[in-house]
Amino acid sequence: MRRKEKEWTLWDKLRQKIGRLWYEVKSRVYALFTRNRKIKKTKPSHRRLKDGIFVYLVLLFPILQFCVFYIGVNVNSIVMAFQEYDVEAQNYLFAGWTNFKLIYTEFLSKSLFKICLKNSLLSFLWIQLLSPLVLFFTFFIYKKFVGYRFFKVVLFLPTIISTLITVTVYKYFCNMGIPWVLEQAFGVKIGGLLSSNRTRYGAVMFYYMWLSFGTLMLMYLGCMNGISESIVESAKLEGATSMQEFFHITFPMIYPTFSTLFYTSIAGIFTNQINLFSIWGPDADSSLWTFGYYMYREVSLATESGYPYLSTLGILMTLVVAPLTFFFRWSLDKIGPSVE
Amino acid sequence: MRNSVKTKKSNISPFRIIIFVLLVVYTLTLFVPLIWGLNISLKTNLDAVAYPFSVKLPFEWGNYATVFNEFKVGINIYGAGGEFIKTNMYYMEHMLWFTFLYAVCCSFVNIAVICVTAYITARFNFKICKVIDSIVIIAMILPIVGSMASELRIMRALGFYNSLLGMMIMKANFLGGTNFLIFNATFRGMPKDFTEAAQIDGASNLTVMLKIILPLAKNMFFTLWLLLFIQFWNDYQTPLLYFPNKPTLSYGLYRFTQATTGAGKEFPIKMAACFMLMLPILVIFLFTSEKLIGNVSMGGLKE
Amino acid sequence: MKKIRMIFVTVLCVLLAVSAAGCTRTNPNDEKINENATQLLVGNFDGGYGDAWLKEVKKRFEEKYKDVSFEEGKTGVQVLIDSSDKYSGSAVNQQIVTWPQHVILAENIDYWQIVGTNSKRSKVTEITDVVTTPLNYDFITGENDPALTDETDTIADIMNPSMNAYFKQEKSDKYFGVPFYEATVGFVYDIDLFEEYGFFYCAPGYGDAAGFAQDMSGNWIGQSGAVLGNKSGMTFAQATGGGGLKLSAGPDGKNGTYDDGMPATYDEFFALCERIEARGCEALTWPGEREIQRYLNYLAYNLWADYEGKDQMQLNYSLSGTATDLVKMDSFDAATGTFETYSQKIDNNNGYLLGSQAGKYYAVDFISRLVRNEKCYDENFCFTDGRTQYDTETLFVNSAYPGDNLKSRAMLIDGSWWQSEASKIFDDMVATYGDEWKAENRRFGMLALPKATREKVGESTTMAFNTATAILINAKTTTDEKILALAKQFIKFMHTHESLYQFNKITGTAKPYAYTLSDAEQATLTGVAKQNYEMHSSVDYVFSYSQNSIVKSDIQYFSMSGYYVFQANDSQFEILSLALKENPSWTSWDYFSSMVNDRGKSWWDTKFGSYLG
Repeated sequence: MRRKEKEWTLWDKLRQKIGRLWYEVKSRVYALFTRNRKIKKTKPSHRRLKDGIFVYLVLLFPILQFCVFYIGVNVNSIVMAFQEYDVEAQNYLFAGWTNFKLIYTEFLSKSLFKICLKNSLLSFLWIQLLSPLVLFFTFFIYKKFVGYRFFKVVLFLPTIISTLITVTVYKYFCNMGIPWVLEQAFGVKIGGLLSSNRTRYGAVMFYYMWLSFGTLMLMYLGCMNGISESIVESAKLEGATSMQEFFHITFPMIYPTFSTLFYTSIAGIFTNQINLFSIWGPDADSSLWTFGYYMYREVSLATESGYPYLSTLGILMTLVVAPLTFFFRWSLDKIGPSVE
Repeated sequence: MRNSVKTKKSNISPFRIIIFVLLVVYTLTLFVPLIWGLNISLKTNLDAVAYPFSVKLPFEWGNYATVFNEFKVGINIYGAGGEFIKTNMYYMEHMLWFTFLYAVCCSFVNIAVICVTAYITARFNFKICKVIDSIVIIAMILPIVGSMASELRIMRALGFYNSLLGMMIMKANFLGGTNFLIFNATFRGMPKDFTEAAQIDGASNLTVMLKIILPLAKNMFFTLWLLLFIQFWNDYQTPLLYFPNKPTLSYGLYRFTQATTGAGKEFPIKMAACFMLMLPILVIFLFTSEKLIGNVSMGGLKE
Repeated sequence: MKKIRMIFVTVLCVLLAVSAAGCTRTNPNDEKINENATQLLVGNFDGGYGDAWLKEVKKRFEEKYKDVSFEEGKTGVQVLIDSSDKYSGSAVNQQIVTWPQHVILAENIDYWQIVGTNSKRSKVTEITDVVTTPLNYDFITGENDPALTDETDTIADIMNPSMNAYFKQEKSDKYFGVPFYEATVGFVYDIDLFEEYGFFYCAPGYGDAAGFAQDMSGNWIGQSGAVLGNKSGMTFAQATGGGGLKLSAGPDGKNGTYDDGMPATYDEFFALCERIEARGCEALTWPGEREIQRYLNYLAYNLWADYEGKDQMQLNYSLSGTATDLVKMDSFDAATGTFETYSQKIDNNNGYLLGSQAGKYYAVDFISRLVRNEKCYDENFCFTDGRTQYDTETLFVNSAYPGDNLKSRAMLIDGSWWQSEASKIFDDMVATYGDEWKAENRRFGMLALPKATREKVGESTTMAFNTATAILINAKTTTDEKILALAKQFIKFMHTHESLYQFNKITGTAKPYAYTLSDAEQATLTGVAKQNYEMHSSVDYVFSYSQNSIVKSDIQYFSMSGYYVFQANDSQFEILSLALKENPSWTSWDYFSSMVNDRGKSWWDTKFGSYLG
């Protein structure tokens, strides 16, 4: 899932709430296991009964929907991992560990998976390496404030224009525009940047990072602007330098956003398509593939017989990514700085 | 105030100016390809291929007319046994209709379910409300990747594949992540006396929700709906997977950009199609930019 | 708030308005059904050939039978053409039973797979009578057509013999289809440009130091370096007409043929490309699009066929005979680029040996030399994905216009049908620059294929057919006797002399039948059409299919359009131009030996074990 534009700004505020609820969930689960449930049973009044009927009536559909499209889908995912499709009989049969074994052997033998792994990890790492730079730049816009509105509008636009459109334009710009300029100016012919195998990978990654740079900057900018003026002012009065301000006030204040972005992007390792599908549809060169692209491509091309295999792969990915996310969430919370 | 202006002024250093310039250059580069593409979309194929950077007057507005007439998707219809039945040709107006159903209706259903669920969990104190709250949070944090195949199978089993009604039901979930939390926080923040007064007057729960609380949140509702609408308008991957026989404009554009035959074989026409589909979003942005940006940043939650 | 609501309302209104406006849209290509006539439904593959030629046939056909009644209460026939790219590939086999069309003109199909093993239950109707009765026999009247008294040949008589051998079922002599068109890929060149710059080789003793008709400054050079005149004052026709310029004999080694002055060997070809580049023109252009890079595979296939000659090349499909120039794989001398060859009797058991035919090595070598010599082509174009065939043809056709300062483009790698495909480009050019730029007024030709070595010069040219095409009758829909007669007659009608001539004239290409055009008819052809006609009459064509059980079982490994013919490096390489361009460390010998290894005995035995004796 692509990250939504709106997630960022709310994080620092909502995170508290999340934490609280999370704690509640944990304690409830704990209570469940220790059988120490001490929930008071109050006698429902007439009013409460009416409320109760209303609440359950209204929630009936959402809960049903949730049962089918969240619980149902994910349980089915697990079930399908142990199935195979019988094309003749047109139904699913129990297949034991076949799918898992197949993936295991293919992972060892197929270079494709290794390429996917490499590209997926690289795209993740690049973005993480980019983050400090983004913070640095954002801090300057935030402090300087000149053209703040301009940047906000300009950085916002690419996030609401369809990726398909921007990517298509970029594709032609790289393939037909830039080589032409270089040929006219320097007489060198380099071929289309998104075609030649020398530049293809770089051009895809560059664009992915170039756009991410803006989106991330927009997020952090919104976040930094949420920092209370009074804190900043009081730091100023104490004679804090910009550097001190950044490390002791700004960064700790936006740290929740920072860490949230980090651990949500871990899931991105397996879902990020780095725009490959928008550029080439299912025909991207296999040296560029990521897991996100592989999964979407395969699902879009597969017939029912291909679903069990893909479900298995999905489950394996979740098994990798879920613990990782929780681990980083936990450890980032531990090591996080605090406002001094 | 005077003081802070002074400190700002004293902060101007060559280093900062360089960074500022770099940023301006960066933001401009985001738009150079778009402007280039716009120029291409107004050229003949020959001019576009031979002189990709020149501006040639008069503009070739005919490209846009061509897009209007030739922007079409042929969908092959297969029978139950996988046998080919016929090819349905969908033109722009058909796609517009499907887009309407998907981008407007599905997003509405989605945001409405989120809003109502959030309202219930915020204003009532039942066990189920806490459970739903927790589910939303867990679903937000727990990354489940690659369940598309399973989803597709369920959609097929329920007869929802290739059905926009099915899509609406699939999209009608309350796992709206931040959207849910925004609504939830808003409804929690509203004073109870409002509703209590109405209830004493004999208003039912439904009346309170529809007539009193929801109208108070409609501003936020419309904004979030608008954001979701934009997201759905741009989304071609969901239609491609779940209802390829009902092509939306974005899905049509995807097919068009990948085409090597038909009108799409000329790349100025491809560019024109891109810009034609971008236009509605730009117009919406033009009128609502402040609202959108404001809501996306902290504005929406500023008390 | 109000604004947002307003926008939603506006969007809704616009949606409704556009939808309402759109409802009235009708497809301009949809022909209205004439309720008073009988409909014959024809499905036509919508590729490079378009359907202009078919519409012409339709017009004459409808006119001819306008007074005949095929159904009660109806008079005349209406041919409804459905042009679509669905009539191609395996879809035809899978879906033909679901199509309403009676007659289907398909491309890229596996004819024998569609016919199936049980001809009584075939998806396509047997049409032996169409192929073996004289062209003037009319199925509808049951009599000989008085208007066609001269046409006493049958379709089988005039069909290209190797095609005939393929379309006729071996045991029963039955036909289920006829070929649709003949197509090949080669070097299209702009004759006007070649003549302007004298891009021709001269006879020994003539021309400049490199053997070209013009030197670098545009002087025509005659015998022993004598300057005959400058291109500004002397045309090519004047120079060769009596000005003292004598052209070389070309690849066929004969003077006075269409290939005079054309590069005779690969070396000459590349020297020509470099000369073109040095004179400020672009030598070669081809579409950068990944899928179309396959055209260079077709080109290589043609070069391979041309090196081997018809008989040796045909071994690849018959798998029976003696191969005379198989490469001894351990004899390659990297320093000189030479190797030894041997002869071997070929049958089903050792068909894989044909993968080491010397011609295949030379073909790979040609592509390797081509893509690695950036003077030969426009690098920004030829390897850029997204540069379509249409873009390529646009540039090629328009580059001749002097007003635009476009770099002149001398040659195009494209199919022989290219001019039909580019018809809109010519129309646009006429609209912008005037009638002198009409296709009829332009002169383009196909370069004769150069030979790999000097020793091969003088051998006749052999070319391979591009794809498997067929005209078929849909057995499922064509059950009514009268409709069947109509469908059969329509197929026959497409093969009368007039129809073959019109096809040649409209599409610029020939059909795989023997026919002779009168001088008057030839005069109406465009340059391309005329040259295709001449080549069609003079070149040996091999048809890359046969009824050999191994070849039939998986045609992909044998045919010109097959995807696997040039696979190497554990099947990771498939498209020659891309593989050789993107892997500069691979020499053509590396590539060739990898191909031979990949498709060796063990592969052959595994793949075709069930067919081996």
